[in-house]
Amino acid sequence: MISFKSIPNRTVLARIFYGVAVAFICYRWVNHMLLSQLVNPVLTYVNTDATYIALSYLGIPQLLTHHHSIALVFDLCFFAAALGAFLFPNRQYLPVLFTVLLGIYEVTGYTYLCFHKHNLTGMWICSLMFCVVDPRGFTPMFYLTRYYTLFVYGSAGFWKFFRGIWNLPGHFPVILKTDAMTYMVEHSSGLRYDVIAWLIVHPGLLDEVMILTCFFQISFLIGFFTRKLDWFFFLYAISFHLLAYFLVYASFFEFSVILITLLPLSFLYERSVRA
Amino acid sequence: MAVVIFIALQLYYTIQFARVSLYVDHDKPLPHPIAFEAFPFVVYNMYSGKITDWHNYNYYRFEADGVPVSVTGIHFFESEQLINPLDKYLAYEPDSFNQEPLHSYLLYTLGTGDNTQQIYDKVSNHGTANCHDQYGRWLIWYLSRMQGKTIHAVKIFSCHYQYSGSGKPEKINENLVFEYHDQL
Repeated sequence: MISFKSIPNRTVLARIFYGVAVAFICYRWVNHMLLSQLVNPVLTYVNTDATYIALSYLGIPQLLTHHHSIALVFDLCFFAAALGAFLFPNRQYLPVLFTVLLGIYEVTGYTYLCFHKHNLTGMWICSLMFCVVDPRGFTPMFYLTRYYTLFVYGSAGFWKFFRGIWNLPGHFPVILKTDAMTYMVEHSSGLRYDVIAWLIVHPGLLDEVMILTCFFQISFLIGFFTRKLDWFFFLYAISFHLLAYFLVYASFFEFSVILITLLPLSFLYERSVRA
Repeated sequence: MAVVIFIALQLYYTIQFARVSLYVDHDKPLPHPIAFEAFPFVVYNMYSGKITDWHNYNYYRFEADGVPVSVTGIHFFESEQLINPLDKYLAYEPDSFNQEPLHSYLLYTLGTGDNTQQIYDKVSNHGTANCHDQYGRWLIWYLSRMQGKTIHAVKIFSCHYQYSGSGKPEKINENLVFEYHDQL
């Protein structure tokens, strides 16, 4: 546990973040999710999101997905920016370039996915803090990003209380039945199948899990006042994402890179001058 | 200053989401279109929305050249790229790909001028000519890449299920909802 004044070590954090970013870009390339691999998708979904509307009106998603060579250049620049920022973490233009390209990739990708996920938004917010190269400026950006992380998980719990589903009997079982339907239809055996089927016939347990989840999530707001629970928040968030992936294939792994702001590992911080 | 603006906008959209939630959760119509997020100011509600139909369990069955396609046999990135646009296609197709919530929002925000219609035509699917054929061609290409061989025809069935007492899904019925044959 950190016992001295905590100044985040930007270089180490940047190496971790951009290393993970490179890995995720490669993962998406292997699974044909880079823009050059979508090749002329037809349907779009901008909803009432002003950013999506603006980018679509400017024709950027269409330009990237309907011209393979342009999309390929974009993807290569995207990868190069992440790799460059990993190799040279103290060059300011690389994090800025990566942040811009990641934003365009996210909006374009989700426009044609026809669903506005927030998986990459966490990575984008995290990338913002690395746009500040000066260590004196980076420290407040790091802690603001930490507060944003706490806000995200806290608000997830808050909305469940606000909208009255935190203790609504049977609601979580319906969520599980709905999201796991595809898997349950296409499989008839296996550990995952058996676990999901067992949970479905024990809806009371799922209701209890929902209540616990809501309280755990809203407890993240305590993190605004103390850092002593950061280990708990980190482990809970990772566990939550792993369980969500196991049960309903809900992937938040790219988002979870923002959890590096909650990791109280001594090598991520350097002693302050005052300490 | 930038941080203050960011926090203010995030709080603004959070409050907007709260407003929308109050109307939706109490079955009241919105007085006017309300946008509750604008990237990067998004809402992380993570399954907080009430599901109103507790007995509607749907599964899309894909057939490529008459051979069933396993949606879970591919990476979830690709299965999402298959399923989500299909959901939107089936939602928009009965209304000729009009997207009324988007249209209403643009009219409310920008007024009723010609520019608004131009923006709507450009950012929506409403202006997409031959959407069925274009979507069908893309679907065939996408399935061909997934399967590693050239596909010439695709059929999609919407299957309605219920869960048995042992937690296993049981089919109630299925309907053909999309069909396309490569003309080449």
